[in-house]
Amino acid sequence: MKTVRRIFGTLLIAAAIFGTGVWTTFGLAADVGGGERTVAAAAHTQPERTQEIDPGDADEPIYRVLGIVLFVWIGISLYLFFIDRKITRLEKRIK
Amino acid sequence: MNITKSVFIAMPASIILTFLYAPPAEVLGDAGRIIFYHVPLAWISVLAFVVAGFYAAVHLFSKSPRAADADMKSHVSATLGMFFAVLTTVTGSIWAKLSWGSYWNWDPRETTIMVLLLIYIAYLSLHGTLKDGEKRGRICASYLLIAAATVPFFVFIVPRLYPTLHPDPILNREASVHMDFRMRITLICTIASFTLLYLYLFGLRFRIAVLEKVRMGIER
Repeated sequence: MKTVRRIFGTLLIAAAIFGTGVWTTFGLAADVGGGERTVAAAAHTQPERTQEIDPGDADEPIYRVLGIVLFVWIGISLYLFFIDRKITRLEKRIK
Repeated sequence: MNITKSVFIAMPASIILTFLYAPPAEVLGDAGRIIFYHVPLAWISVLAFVVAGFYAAVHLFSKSPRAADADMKSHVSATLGMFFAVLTTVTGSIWAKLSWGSYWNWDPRETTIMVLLLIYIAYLSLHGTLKDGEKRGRICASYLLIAAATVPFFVFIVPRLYPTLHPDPILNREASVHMDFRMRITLICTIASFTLLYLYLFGLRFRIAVLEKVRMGIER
């Protein structure tokens, strides 16, 4: 039960990290003030870039965001990989 | 090699696609890329709840010896479904802030996901409260079966009955996806990657549950 709780806790932490990542990536940029409910769909007034990304421009913020998201994923995948290895070892020992 | 392990390649590939291949959304710009995370998360949470309901039915009605693990599988799937439903709500809430100016609006879709979350929180509480054994298996499986029956109602029917600000769903009335070709390809790839992630986590979590059971058997 302890392991299950630990795994569930870790998944929750991963969710929190993922949520924070998404929040900082998308949420902060959207802080347009107010917060009051906008009923009309005409509220789509974000002055965002809607053109294609310039592949030669390394200063594009999207590359930084991509780096952060990939970094988070690498962390999660390493964690999952090590758990998988531990479980395989335990299964072999039980057999 | 287990095919679900391909998630370690598929997931970063999908992440790269979402940021570099897919064009920015027409109105929301780069912020619109959240669709490539929100939609797959919603899809796998529904998938997980349906799988949980399926295994609950197997546990209740099948007498085959192969159905012995169905109880554990239904619990594992319900837990994962809950986890992904929380992430769906978080990403949806951020999208709502971007589109509608507020994180929570009590839109029909937001309200139904909230009800669905409460149903599965109640399930987890029920599962945690009862003592391990056949009785708990049957009670939880019955609950999960009823809960799974409500999923299509809350996800597909109610949001379509009431006026909503939510963008046109992928499975819409015209049965056509209103999306740029590259965005559509990216979305298909992310849905496939997240499905692999679900299957991988399901396998991993099930193996842990089996080990737990073995350990508890040894301790007794």
